[in-house]
Amino acid sequence: MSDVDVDVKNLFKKIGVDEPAYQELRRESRTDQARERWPLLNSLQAEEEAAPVKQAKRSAKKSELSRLFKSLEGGKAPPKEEAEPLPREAAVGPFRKLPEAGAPNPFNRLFEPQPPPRNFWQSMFDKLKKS
Amino acid sequence: MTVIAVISMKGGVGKTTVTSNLSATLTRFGQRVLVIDLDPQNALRLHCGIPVHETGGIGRDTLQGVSWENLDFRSPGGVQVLPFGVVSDEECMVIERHLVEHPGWLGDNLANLGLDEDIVILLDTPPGPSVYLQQALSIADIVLVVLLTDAGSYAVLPATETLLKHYGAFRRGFLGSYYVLNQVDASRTLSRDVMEVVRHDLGARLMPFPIHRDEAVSESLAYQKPVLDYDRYAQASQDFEQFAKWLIQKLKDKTA
Repeated sequence: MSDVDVDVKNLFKKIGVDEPAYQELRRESRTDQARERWPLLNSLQAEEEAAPVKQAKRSAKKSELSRLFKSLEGGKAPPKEEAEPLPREAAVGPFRKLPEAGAPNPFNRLFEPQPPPRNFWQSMFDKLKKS
Repeated sequence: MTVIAVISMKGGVGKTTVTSNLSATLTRFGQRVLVIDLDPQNALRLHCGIPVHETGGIGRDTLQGVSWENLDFRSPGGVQVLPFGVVSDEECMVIERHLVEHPGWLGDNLANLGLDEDIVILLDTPPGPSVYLQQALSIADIVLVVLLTDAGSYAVLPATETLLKHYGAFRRGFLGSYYVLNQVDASRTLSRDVMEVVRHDLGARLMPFPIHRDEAVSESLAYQKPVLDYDRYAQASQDFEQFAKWLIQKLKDKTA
C-alpha cells in the first residue's frame, strides 16, 4: 500500500468513515480519457477488447498487446506458459497476425516472384557474383 | 562493439535526425561511435556534415565487391560515418538482391573492419520492412524504435512488435528494444494523449526522455551541425543529452 493510500485511509478514518474502499485509479483514468478523446486510439483499444479468444486468455487488466510488449523487455523470453504461441485470431489486436512457429521468413515474400530482370542490372548482378 | 539499430515502421518520424544527433551527443560524452546509413536515400551524410558531392559509401563498395575499410568519412563532431553512397535505382535492386542471397552481408563487413570492443555502431535503416532492416535486426544488440506522438505511429505498434519478436528479440546477448518518442509537443492535446497511452502500454520499454519538437533541430540540419553544436541550450539539445546518458547507462549494464 502506498503512502498516498494510507493518507487517504487515515483521512476517511478521521472524519468517521470506516474502511473506505479506496483505490488509486487516477493513472488508469488518465489513460482511458486519453483514448476516449480520439476515435482512432479508442477504436484500436476497442477492437482489441472485442477479440473473444484473447479475452478468454488474458486477465482483466492485462491485454495481449501489453503482454507482448512486456515479453520483449530486455530480450528475456516470457515464462513458459506465456511463451505458448498465441492463437492467430488473438495475436496483437486487429493489426497483424503473429507468424506461426516455423513459418517462412516474411521478408522473403518481398522477393518472390521476381519480374524478368532488365539487361542492365542483370549484367551488374553477374559482375557482382563474379567479384 | 555494440550494434544499435534505429528503426521505424513509418517514414518521416525523424529516424535519421535522431540517429545523427544521438551519435554526435554520444561522441561528445566520450563514446567512440560509428554510424552507418543502411538507407539508399543516402540522407545521413547530410546530417553528418559530409560534403554533398561525395558519392562513395557502402552501397557503391558492395557493387564493386570491395571492403568498407577504405571509406573514411568523419563528421566535424568526430563521428565516424559510413554513408550508403549514391546509387541508381537499378544498382539499388542489384544490391538488395545481393543482400537477400547474403544474409550475413552486414555482419561480415563489420567483422572485416576489425573494430574495437568499445565502439558503438548506430545503424540508420529505411522505414518499414526491407532487406536492410532484416540485416540490421539480425545483428543488433539494442533496437531503438522511433515514434511520433500521433495516431498513425500508435497504430503501427503491434506490427513493430511482431517484427521485433520475429527477428532476434530472444537472441542470446540481445539487450532489448526500446521506443523513443520524437517531436513531442506538450502544448498539443493529441501529443500528450498519445504519450500517455504509449507510456501505459510500453512501460519500461519507453525511453523515459522524449525528444521535444524544436525548431532548432531543423535549423541545425540546415547548418549541417548536430543540434548540440548549433544551440547548446535548445530543448532538443537537453533531450539528446538525457537520451545519450540513458543509453550509456544501458551499455554499462551490458558490460556489468
